[in-house]
Amino acid sequence: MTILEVKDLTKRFGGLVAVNEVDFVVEKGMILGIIGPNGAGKTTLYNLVTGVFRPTKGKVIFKGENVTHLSTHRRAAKGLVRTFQTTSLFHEMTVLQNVLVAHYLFRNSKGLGQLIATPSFHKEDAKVKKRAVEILDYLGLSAVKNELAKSLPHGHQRALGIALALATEPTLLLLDEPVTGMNEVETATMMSLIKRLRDDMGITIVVVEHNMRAVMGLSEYIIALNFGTKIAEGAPDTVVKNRDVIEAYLGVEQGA
Amino acid sequence: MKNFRLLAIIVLLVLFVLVIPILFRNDNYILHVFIMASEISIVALTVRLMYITGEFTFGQVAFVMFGAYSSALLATKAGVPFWVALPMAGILSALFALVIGFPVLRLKGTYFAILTLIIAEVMCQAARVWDFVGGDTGLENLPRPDAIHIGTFTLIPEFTAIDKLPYYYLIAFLLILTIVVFRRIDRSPLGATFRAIQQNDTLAASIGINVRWHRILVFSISAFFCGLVGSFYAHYMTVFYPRSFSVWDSITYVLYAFLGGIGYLGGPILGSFGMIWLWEFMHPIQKFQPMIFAGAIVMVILFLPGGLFSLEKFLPSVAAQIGKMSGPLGKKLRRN
Amino acid sequence: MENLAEIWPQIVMNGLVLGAVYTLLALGLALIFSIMRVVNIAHADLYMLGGVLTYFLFGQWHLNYFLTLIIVVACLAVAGAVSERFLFRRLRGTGLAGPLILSLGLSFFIRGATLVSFGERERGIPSPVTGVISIGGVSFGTERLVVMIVSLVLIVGLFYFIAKVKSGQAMRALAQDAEAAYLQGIDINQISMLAFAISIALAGLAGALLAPIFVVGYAIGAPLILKLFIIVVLGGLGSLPGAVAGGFLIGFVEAASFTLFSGKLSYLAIFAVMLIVFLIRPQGLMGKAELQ
Repeated sequence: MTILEVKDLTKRFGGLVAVNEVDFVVEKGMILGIIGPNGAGKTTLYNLVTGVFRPTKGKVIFKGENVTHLSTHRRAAKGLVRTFQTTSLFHEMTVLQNVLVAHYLFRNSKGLGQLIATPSFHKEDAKVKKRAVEILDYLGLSAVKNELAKSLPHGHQRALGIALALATEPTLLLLDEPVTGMNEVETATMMSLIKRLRDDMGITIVVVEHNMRAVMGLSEYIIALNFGTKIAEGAPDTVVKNRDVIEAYLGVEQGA
Repeated sequence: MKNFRLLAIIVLLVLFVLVIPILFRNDNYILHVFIMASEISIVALTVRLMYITGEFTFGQVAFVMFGAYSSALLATKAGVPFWVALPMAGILSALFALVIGFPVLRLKGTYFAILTLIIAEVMCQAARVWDFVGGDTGLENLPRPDAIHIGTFTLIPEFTAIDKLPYYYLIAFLLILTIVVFRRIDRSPLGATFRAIQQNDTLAASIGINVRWHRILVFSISAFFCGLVGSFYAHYMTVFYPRSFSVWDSITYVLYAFLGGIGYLGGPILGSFGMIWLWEFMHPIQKFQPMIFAGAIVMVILFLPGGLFSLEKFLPSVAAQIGKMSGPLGKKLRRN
Repeated sequence: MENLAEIWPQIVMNGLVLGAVYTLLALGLALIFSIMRVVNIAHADLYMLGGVLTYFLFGQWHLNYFLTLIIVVACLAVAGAVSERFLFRRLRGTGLAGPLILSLGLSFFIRGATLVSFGERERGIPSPVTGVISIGGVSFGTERLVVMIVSLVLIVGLFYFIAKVKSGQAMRALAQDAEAAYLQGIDINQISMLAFAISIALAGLAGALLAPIFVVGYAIGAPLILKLFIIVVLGGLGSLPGAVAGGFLIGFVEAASFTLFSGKLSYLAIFAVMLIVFLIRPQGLMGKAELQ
């Protein structure tokens, strides 16, 4: 079943074309990798898929529904969630508070109903707390659950970012450079975590990454971008040997 | 630490509800100052509420005005008794905020702050030329709250021009109500959602939080309480006109909230009460009041951005100092 | 109502004068905001200060008017640089709230100090330039004409400065992308101080120019800053061309409604204009605000 379909997606900023008529499809349960040199438009692509930007042209179809004109939070409510490149957390809250607040979609009582302490409210509150603790456990963050998010080491911050996304019960998770800046051990841990997210929870995953080994090790299918255009796609071995892809990366190195 | 807080709150409550009224039973001047400070505290608290979602509002006076006019018009033109007009003024203000919130809250940060300023100013000006609301001369002969008797038992006493005590208790009740509601919000998941929006609204949206809706919600809640204050004010003064309200007052309340410490629930109250009392003491040198106030603000924003309330961080060390003090004075303080 | 044919030259003239001065002031605000994200609520009070200084130097001590202007510009430029260096710089990077509150505090302080020293009453200053000039059979006050021309020259000068002079170009670079500008070696401290100095000096100069035409008093900043905010929001916060558009638009609306209706309604006319623009383009005529 196709979870995500991106058709003819284009984004222009004035004269600059950041994303150029990109199409791809993500099947349920897949781990898709997106690669490309810096400035290839990967983050812009994510912004288009999640609704931070509106496309100049093209469509985003999620679970069969055209979500191109929906705002970010509506897409998240449908199960389309992302993490961020720069660690995006609620810095002044503790780790536990972060995950609790991310259960916004999970809760049933919204708005002013949350102010009245009925028995059902308490029950739901307890359920949320239990689930938050479970998520922290799953990601190995239990020990630091009362630390402020901003005081966490880098690796834990990344894990917390994923915890927040998990709290929303996502169907499709877009990871933005999850292992950038990590050492070998951390990278391996993160990679196995990502696999577990798919294997244990059935979450479909898209990964944007620079670390080629990580992308190769994780993805079943890869899409390569350069200058906003899709230049190659296919199984990891095929893409990595593709001449355009090699040129894109080498070309950047030479020109830079 | 927690016990100290609880003790402080109980002491303040007792002071507020019992001691002050008894001590100053007949001193209308002092009661009036307390009433004013309470009104301002409520407005300052609503400023804090907005701030929790990361927005600054300078235009709360617009909602106070709206509440005052709504309540006054309901009472004079529709014969609505005060006790009904009061909550209605709040609700109408909240609805008003809902309506202007939709377009206005499409902008954030500085834009929004300036926009609230402009809206407040425009409302003040518009009231001057609109005859239905009395134009420049405003509204007068507004009815006071009615007394309510159940049989021979007086539930609510007479509100007169001479005795300010009933008004005092009414505004004290409203202030405590505001504090209770806002505290509940702070500690609820809703409050956590608000703080999430304040700290990182992009992230909040990406985990499904409808940021704009929440901001409109908080705008309406703060307008509701401002409307209550407006209604109280109208039937306390029994006369008001557009000049009674000023954008610059609105700005001052934001400053009081900051001075006291906008991060704390007690901050705006401390700032408002503190400043109002300071001005009363400084009456003889009233000329210098703006300068001193301004100087205090500049000092605080540069050197104590958390406001006066943030000094509470130093309380543990003060307690530790007292603990270390030898001699009879130290022992005496420690026993408490 | 008088004959429209007779009064429209007056409206145009008044509109130009008001527009030019409003634009001058709004540009100062927009400049600082675009570079440093600081909303200077004290801006109009510095305009007032320029007027007050002029009252003393020119009105009371009878200094030469040009000399007065130079002194006012110099004093306020220094004041601007100093306040950036020692006050606003401390709050750089701490968010929007701090500088806003700081400028509020300064605004109240300036007003308070003026209240104490200048008194409550508003006072007038004799005009340095008197008489009328006849253009096409219609007479205009010479002084207003001069003020308008000087303002227009300064406006053009400012745009030239930003386009062609190195420091001005640096300001523009900073406004567009602070990080890139820094990497290019632009000294943010220096440019910030300069921008402040220019902005404040322009405000003071406007005050000095208008002092003989309108009255001077400690409170004249209050309604003015609100009008200036309407202008910059209308034009698009941080946009310099927007400040020009907004300034002249409001100048004309005000001139027209003052002449055609009574003074009270001019405010509502301004608001109506603002509402219309806001509904069509909430970020202002030339603004680049983010919408939620």
